Amino acid sequence: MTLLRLDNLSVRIGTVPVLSDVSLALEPGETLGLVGESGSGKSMTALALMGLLPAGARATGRAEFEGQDLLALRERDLCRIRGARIGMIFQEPMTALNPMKTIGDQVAETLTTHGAATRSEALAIARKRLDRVGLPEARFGLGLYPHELSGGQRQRVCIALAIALRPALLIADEPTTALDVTTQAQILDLLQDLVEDERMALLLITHDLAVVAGRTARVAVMQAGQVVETGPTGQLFRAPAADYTRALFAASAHVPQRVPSVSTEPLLELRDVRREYLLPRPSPFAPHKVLRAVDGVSFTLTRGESLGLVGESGCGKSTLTRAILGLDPVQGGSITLAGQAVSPTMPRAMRAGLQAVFQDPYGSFDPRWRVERLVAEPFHLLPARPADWRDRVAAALVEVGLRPEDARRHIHEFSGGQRQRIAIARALITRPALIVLDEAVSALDVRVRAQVLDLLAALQESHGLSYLFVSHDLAVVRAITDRVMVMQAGRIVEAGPTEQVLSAPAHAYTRSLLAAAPRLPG
Amino acid sequence: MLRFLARRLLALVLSLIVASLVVFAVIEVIPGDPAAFMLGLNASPETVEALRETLGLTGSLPARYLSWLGGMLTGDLGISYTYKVPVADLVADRMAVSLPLALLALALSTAIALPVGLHAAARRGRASDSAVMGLTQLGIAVPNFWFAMLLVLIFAVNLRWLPAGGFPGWDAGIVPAFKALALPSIALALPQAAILARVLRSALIETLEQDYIRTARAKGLTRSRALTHHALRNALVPVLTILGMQFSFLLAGAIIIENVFYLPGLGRLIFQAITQRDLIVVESVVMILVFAVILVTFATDIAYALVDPRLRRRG
Repeated sequence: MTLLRLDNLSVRIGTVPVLSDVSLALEPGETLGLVGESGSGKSMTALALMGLLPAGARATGRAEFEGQDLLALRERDLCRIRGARIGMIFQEPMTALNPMKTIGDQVAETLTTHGAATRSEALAIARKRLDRVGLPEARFGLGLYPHELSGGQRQRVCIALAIALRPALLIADEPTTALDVTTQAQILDLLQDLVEDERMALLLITHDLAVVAGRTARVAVMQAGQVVETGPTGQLFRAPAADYTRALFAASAHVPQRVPSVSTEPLLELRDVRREYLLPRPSPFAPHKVLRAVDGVSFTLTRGESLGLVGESGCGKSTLTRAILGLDPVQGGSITLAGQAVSPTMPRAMRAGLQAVFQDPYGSFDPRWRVERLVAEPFHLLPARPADWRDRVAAALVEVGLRPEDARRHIHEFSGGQRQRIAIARALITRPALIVLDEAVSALDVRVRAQVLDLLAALQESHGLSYLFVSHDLAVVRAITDRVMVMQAGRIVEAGPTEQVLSAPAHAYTRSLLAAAPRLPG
Repeated sequence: MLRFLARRLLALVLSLIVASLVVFAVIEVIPGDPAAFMLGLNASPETVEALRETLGLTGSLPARYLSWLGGMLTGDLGISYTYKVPVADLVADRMAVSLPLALLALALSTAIALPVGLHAAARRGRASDSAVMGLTQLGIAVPNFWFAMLLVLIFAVNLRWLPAGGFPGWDAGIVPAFKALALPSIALALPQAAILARVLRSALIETLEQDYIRTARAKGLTRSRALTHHALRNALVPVLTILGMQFSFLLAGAIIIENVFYLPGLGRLIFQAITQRDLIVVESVVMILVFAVILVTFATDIAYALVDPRLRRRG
């Protein structure tokens, strides 16, 4: 018997359709990958069948699970199915757990809510489930609070509470998107193990084609609220039928055309840079403990070069980036840009030569400013704003592929990809020598990301820009950099030409990063 | 948790010392001689000198500060210039009215605000939410003394259930004392409850948007169980902040209500002391109020830590 069958599932929010006629089927114990870009409706599909749609949304069609139509069930009956027959985990493990409750209580709650066990029995079962997901008793007591765990560990707790009652179906909505590559690989392995052991069906929702490759039996590709293609994973990856799927694959593997840098003139030089943080004193009169976040980093970035910096969260790459931008003082060593010392007190004119683009295209703009004011803001760094500043803003907008008249609009009128273009225009406006791109394309969908990478490559060539490209994504680094540095625990453990480092890694850590990174076959 | 407590206690003592310095300094920087100021323009130099002696204004600054501080610590606040009785006794009498009144009002406002806020958050956007929120607007807008007069009119004048004013003292028995405090505490509590309910509602609504509420719902919790078991505790921190501020306000800010009901409370004491230039009473009462506020802040900090495990680690 089919476990889950969606027939013409449609969802409207108000009068806006967000899902139209989605039909999917899932057998018991089967794994299905649901892939699509942001806004394609993949999460909405999951929320619709859980009965957890946002206020104002209405679902029509059928969602038959174990013989009952979920859409026709009353809220009370849905509560009996959620958590018991269908478990679900979400994207952001850092916020998915209640910060005020212990992990033991939160796992046990799944059992007590459904009356499946008394509190003490539930805690005993919670212990077993936490053991099962790789959080052994010795280090992970039931009394721990979420803030005492890392992101990966928290996601394990979320999995434990989702599978506590051995549901027939587990929905994992972008379960690893917020995690580092090595953690991502471990969580995906765990999900795969659980599905096999417990004979659970798995609906794995992701924007990343590479995540489902080799992980699920079948894949469905969604676009704009519709399923455009469904098929066995291997076959779909070998010969995608829909144009959209082919476009996705092409964008994922896209490498922008760029001219390798040849200059040997040093632009940014770091000599033995150390960044330290003071930790709280262990007792009121003891000295502060010191956390060395960046530990003796030296490198040279030449003019026109694109240099990659990769590493997992907590390795110190953001701390190093802040120091390079002259936002934080260093505790040892030196940073120079074109021979002048970089520090929080450096002259403002120097900052004009050093600009940055950050990850979040939504959070890095003042929503009340017009685009022209946003883009012109770095002119504050110059002694006076040039008289032709409006023309320069218009020119910068054209350079990044927008129209001059966009200058009068507000930031909320633009998509994520367009916002990132505006961020690049803002970085370009003072004609800097170096742009630091801190995860600048990480939040973008693959097709948009490919376009932005093309733009960055073209601008580098036309303006002779140097890039410091900070990212956790090895594929992107491979596409856009000449050289790459791998950072671990505050140190550069390996550096060299990108192709060489990524094809023949010398350091064990680089090898483990490469092994963990999900890859598209072929 | 122990270290957290120790740090908080240290902060408490330090803020008390700083506050006492400030209060002392303010009285000192009042232009001219406090004794002359208290006695007015027509006083003879001998009277001023005599008062200077009683006020302890004769020694050096640090010596005076230390003796004042020592007096505070041993309960000797000096003799009130206008009432001619020890300030400590005066304050103790007034505290016996103001403290129970503030506590009662606070308990009432919490008891009203909690269910109202929960209900409004659970039924957000529906008719009963709008109705309740409209009422809280009214509760905040209407001055509490007007409301107090309304209460007197209904419950004291027409129904004759409760006294219209005055305080019989705790010697007269618990029941008459509470009866005397009932209407004033209601009048004080209602605007506070309205504020508290609105704060609780918006904190709950914000909390209900959090990812962990979605996780709880995905576990099979009903909407109301997710509200009470997950959202409420997370929404308590802003509520505790408001509660702490309200208590400090209720202790001395009840002066208008005290006047409406003829209650001999702290608010009236300090008001009269100010109008009669009884600086020694002003100084002491202000210091006691500062102490109360710091103590409440301390209690609020402890309450934060009890509610939120993340705060127990920090200093």
